[in-house]
Amino acid sequence: MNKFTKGSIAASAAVLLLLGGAGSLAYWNDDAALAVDPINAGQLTIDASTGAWAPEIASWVPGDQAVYSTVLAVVAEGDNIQGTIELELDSVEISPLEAAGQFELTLGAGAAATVPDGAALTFNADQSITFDGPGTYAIPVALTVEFPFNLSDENVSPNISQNASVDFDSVSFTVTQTAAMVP
Amino acid sequence: MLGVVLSGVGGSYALWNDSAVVDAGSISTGTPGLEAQWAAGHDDALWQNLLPEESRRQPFTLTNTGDVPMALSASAVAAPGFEVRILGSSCPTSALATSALNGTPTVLLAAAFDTEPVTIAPGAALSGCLEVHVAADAMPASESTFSITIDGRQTT
Repeated sequence: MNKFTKGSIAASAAVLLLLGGAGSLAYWNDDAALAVDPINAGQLTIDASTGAWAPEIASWVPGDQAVYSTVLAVVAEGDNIQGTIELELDSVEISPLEAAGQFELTLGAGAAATVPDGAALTFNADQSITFDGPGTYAIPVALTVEFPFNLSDENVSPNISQNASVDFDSVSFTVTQTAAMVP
Repeated sequence: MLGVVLSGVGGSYALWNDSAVVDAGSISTGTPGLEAQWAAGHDDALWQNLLPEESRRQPFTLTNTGDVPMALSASAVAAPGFEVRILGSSCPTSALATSALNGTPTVLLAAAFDTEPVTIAPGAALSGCLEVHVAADAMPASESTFSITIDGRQTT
């Protein structure tokens, strides 16, 4: 066996020893703890106070109109929180159903709202309410119910609305966050 | 690896929402209602054996039994030779000057030359007068049956 061969074999053996013979590696590693302050999520809640009708009408007839007033309390916590408040009209039940077109419901602002410093509140043309900014909002709203004297739909007999009823016993207001996509 | 978990790759949303329910009760609508009846002492015999150009009047009462004020109109169809007239007030001693009724509703007037119809408030009662008149060209021994329809339409 010549010297070159001996050297090659020795080098190969050294390589094999270093490789652990079975292919295991000895990479160095270490870890370090990264201190992160707790992340607190905010909250978004809505409550509605017991409201009242004005005027109180015992038996409605065409031409009558009344307003139901209540106050919405919205708690919005979050540096970048914003959202929309909507009246869920599906919760209003009318009987008979054919009389539904003879009632008009609109949601608008009541008395002056309480808006947190630096926040904004807007009543929109589509009867939704938008808020922008954290804090506690007190939002008086007025739900106007109108029973027009002159029926707008000539294809519906005006007498269909006699002995009708409109149930507002489960009127629902929903608040939904409308934050932008988180990158 | 830790950075991938934080980034939320894919743009997922976590939008909050809440709802509040109020009990605003319910509203109910009323109805219109109109009743007519002959006044006390009514006698159908009064309209028997009338001569041409004769008129006989009898009072009646209209009552608004509904929830809305109403403007009144009336219609009637009588056989040829007979005319029916109506007034939205007590019977006078002379023949009515209002136009004879036909099948088309005409406004009920308190006086012959009024321009606005009589209105009746909810719960109120009104005295009216119905007259049967025999025309000059009525055939002898002819007779007529008729029905009066009084229409009430809600006013503002």
